[in-house]
Amino acid sequence: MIGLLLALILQSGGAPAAAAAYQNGRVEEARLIYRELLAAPDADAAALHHNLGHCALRLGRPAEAWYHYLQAGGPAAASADLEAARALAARRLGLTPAPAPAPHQRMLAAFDGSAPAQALAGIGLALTIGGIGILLLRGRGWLWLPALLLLLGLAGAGRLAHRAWLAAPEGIVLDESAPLRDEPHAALAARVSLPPGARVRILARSDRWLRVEHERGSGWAAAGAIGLLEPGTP
Amino acid sequence: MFAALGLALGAAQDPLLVELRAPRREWYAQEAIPIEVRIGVAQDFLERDLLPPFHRRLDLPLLLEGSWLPAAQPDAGDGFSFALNGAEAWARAGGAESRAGRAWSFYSYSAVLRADQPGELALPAVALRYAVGTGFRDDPIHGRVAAGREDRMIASEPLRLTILPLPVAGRPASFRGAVGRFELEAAAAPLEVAPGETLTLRLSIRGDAPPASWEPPDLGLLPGFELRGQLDDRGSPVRILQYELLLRNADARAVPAIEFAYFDPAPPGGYRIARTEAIPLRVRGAPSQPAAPAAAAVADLRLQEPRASAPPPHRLTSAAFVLALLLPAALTGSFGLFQRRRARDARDPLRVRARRAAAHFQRALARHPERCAAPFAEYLAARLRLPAGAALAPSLESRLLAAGLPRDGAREAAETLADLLAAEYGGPPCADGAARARAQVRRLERHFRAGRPA
Repeated sequence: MIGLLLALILQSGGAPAAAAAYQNGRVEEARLIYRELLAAPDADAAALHHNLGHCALRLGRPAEAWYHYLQAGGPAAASADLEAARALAARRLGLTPAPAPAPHQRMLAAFDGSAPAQALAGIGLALTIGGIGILLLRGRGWLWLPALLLLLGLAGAGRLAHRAWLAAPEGIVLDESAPLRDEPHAALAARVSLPPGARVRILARSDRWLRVEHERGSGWAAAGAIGLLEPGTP
Repeated sequence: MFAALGLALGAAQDPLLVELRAPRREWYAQEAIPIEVRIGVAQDFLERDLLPPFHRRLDLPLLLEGSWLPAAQPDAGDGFSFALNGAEAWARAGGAESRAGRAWSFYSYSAVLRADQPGELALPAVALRYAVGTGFRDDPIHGRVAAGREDRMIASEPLRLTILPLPVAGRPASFRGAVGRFELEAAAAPLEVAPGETLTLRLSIRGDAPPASWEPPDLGLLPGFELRGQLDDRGSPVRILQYELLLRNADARAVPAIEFAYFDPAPPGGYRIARTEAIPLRVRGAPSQPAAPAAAAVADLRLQEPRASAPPPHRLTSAAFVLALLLPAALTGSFGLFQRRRARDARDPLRVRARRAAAHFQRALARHPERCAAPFAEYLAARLRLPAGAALAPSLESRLLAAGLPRDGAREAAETLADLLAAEYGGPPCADGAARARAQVRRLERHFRAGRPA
């Protein structure tokens, strides 16, 4: 029945129907439609995650909202609205606001949040200018400048490769709490419990369980309690 | 009117009854259920035969027992006192009627109950205890006095009700458990604020549900404002909430209308939303502190319009990654070679001359193959590092030999130049002169570029 209803809603124009439902207070309905839209292969993931975050926040699910806001995009997709929404979700979750980032941290965040093509272009530019600069300034006093640029390019390439292929995938705790167990069995007692919105590293996957790592400890958590982040999510 | 009741008549022939009544059989969870305990007694029996259960004089010498009945509220002055679970309570007059030739008086005691969970609710029977005098005699001082006393009891039938769950359909997102009927009033102070300053919003919610059973509106969603604090006076029937709101948006011109969703169980039963009026504000222009970014509350958040079709997300491929590393290396290498050649050219300008002469010869050959003697001579001179006219001298072959060319190559080049010159200046035509010259230049270029001494 719900599937039929959703099919009818989608036929009548998915995103506008969702927006109308949201505006009229039928937030759960809007959330379901946006989730359906997100499953499409050519979905506008950033906008849909953005809207799903709003729905979750209005439904009183700040952890889910936090998860979607993180997926809604890095600095490239950032807007005042998204930043404020993230701040609101963080406040609801009781997350301590991070201190203002230092300049190098801002640069790293901008780099991590950029699209791979942009990052590659930056790396290529740094390597090229650095290499040519070394050739031009060989034997002169400013050689350190292109050498630094070359090193930055190489470091960026290393970071990009690590992020894309070497780093463990990450996830966000969506439930009110995510108990961690020594083995993937619900009958076992939980060793430690993770708060909603906590960011975890995914070390292994089982059928319906994820082995996760967090500063509080590591263990197996129910897969449904963790929302998996896209690789490279800042 | 009373759909549900449990009735019991008095023991033996005592003209007494007690019954439990409710206006209807089906109720919603958390809905206020008015239960009436109705007591009927024949007037003559009340006046003549009933004895008080306690020393204290009561209007109705009856003791009602029902552990689930809530304690009595103080009497407004027009009630009839009786005993409820050992304490004094008051019943209202419930009318009179005649039954079997006797005048009966009825009294009712009301209590309000709420069921937390849906399902069948069985209210246990209530008991009515009373004492009947026996062997009355007339006393000159006390009048009619009973010689004996007999305690008796009657009980009502239990009352069975059905508790329905609150419907899911049509439930507003802002519904927070309030069941009943509610009215909302709001007032704010001060009405003149600047962004970054706070105001107090006083919200009065009048309703018939106990305050503990519902949550107040969440003003964390109020557009343009940030909730800084909240005081809750959980009075009944009026619950007063005071919200401290920080004005975050200089564009705000009013405290928006506050909505409060509740379920009204009155048939047919449905969700309703009570609203206050928006409260206009005078917002001073200059903010006393920087206002926060646009959306400081959930209600401020704006949806994004998703594109109908978005390009697939960019993923880093190993090919792109390798290319991004190799391309700078290739560019840098090319630049290095270019720089090296430029340095070599700067050190040896005659190399440049030779290169240019070769290029000039190729262009001349393409345009006027019949007149390529001069460019060929210039090329040979440039390669031999001689003045332009020196190639025309008879010593050309020996100079080419001195430059390291093999003997037949040197001779052939000298002969080709001689044939070309002759053809241009009136001699016999040289049909294959251009082709021979091109082949000579190609061979000489290979020779000189191979680094052999010029």
